[in-house]
Amino acid sequence: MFKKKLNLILLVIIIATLLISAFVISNESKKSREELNSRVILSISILKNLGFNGFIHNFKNYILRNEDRFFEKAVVNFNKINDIIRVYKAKDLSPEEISMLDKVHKASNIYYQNLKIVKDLRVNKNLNDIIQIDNLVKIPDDINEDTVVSLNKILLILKNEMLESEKTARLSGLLFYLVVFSFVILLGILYFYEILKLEHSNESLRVANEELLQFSYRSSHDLKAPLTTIKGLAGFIEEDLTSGNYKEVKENALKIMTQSAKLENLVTEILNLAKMDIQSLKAEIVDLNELAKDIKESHQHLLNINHVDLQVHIVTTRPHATFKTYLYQILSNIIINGIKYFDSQKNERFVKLNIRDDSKNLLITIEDNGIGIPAENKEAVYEIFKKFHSDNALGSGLGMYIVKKSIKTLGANIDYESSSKGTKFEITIPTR
Amino acid sequence: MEKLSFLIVDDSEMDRYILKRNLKKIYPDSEIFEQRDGQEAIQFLQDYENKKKSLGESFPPILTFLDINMPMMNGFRFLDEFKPIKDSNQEYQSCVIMMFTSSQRESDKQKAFSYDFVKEYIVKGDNNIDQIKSKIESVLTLSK
Repeated sequence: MFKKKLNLILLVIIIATLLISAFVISNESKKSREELNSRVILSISILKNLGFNGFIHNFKNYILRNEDRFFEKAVVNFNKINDIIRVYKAKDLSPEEISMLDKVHKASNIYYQNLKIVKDLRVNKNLNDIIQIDNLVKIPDDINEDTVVSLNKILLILKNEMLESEKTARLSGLLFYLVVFSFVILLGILYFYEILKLEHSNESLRVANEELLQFSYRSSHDLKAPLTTIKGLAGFIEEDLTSGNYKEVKENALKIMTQSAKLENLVTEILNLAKMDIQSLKAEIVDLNELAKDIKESHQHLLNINHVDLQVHIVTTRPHATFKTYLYQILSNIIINGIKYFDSQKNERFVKLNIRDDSKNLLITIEDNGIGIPAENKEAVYEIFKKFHSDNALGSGLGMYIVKKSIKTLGANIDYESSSKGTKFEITIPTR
Repeated sequence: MEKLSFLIVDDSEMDRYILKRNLKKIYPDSEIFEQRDGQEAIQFLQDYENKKKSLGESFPPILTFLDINMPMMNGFRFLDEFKPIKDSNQEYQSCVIMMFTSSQRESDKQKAFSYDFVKEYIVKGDNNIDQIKSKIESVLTLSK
């Protein structure tokens, strides 16, 4: 029970870990995509502030038109580009991307230096010839080309990363849903299994409770009945002693003895049953010959009275380990029924106990030539307190119930055939 | 007083003996039949013509003492089977049943009294001979 629970807990932990990791993976990929998006936005901002209507555009306009607003716009653009590149470089970037950014940064710095030179030329040196100014602040073509190539490379890197991340996102999303789906299915199965188990144990509890009620009612009834009879008989003995009817006294005293024996037998069987419930189960190698001898000895008196011959035949190929008490109860109870329900019409009455084995089982047959079990009682044979024959002073109605209980405990099999010629039980008991 | 006849249906030989002996003490001239279970009792009661011929005035028994827990056919199944027999023959009209059992279960008692021809329910060992006598007398007076 505990082990089962532990397994269950382990399973839930594994699933939960999978679920959390799937969640983390999907979260990570979401984060990296957000990061990528922000880099895309930053790179677009660089382009916007650098190119058309940006820094270089305003720089050129300032040279051409000599209006201060272009100068101011260019400064704003430059500061923005600086800020953007600083933010951009704080991110987790490849060396290639960093070097590309550095090239852009360097180019924008050169433009900025030149912008200040233009201002200085105009304000302090009073130089206003556009061609002259342009010649003084001309940026070499290789720097411009380098900047364009760098920006293109950054965009290409971003594009590739974007494609890659979309693939990962799809995969991790799939993984996430797969894990969630299997988790839900597993929970469903566990829940269903628990309900089934609960229903099953409820049912077994109900059956056990019903059995217990039936048992306590019937056992108290069967214990009381012989006592009532004994009380009645004792009353008659008292009367007959007074009237001097000693023959009747003797007969009733014998009846009291029979009733007491019946009571004793019932109490013994109830004790047997209780013993079976509280006995600690320990399989042991059973000496089958000795077991048969014990059974024969304990039923010797009845064998003699009923003139029944108990024939034992045991041939086994290996030692057998099983629960001895249960094996004893099975054999003893079936054999005693064979002795009790003998057929008075037959002169040679027998009960044959036959024990063989195979690699896994003990194979037992118990055969008698008694009166047989009425066919309509087949279902009820193993029921508690079931008796099929009148005037059987000793039957407690517990014997076959004990057999059934023992068979169940041993994981064994039992079946029988019966007719007016006799009864044959076949029992297969798995042993070690 | 006419000669009374009783039927005892019980699988316990000793309980039949005890009841029979007590009945004989109360009604020394009575005729007492015994059957070991419901099935035997039904066979006995079914065979009206033959039994009437061989047993005469004593048949059918005016009062049946019926046990509940019996092999083959228990007391309740006997009641089920006896009902159509009783209904089909005028001679059985005054025949009544007195349960005589070890069962103290209330449900058994209620079930027994659901048959209108069950007039009394006695738990074995609970009544002394005088109590049994008065119960029989009241049942017989009622059934007349």
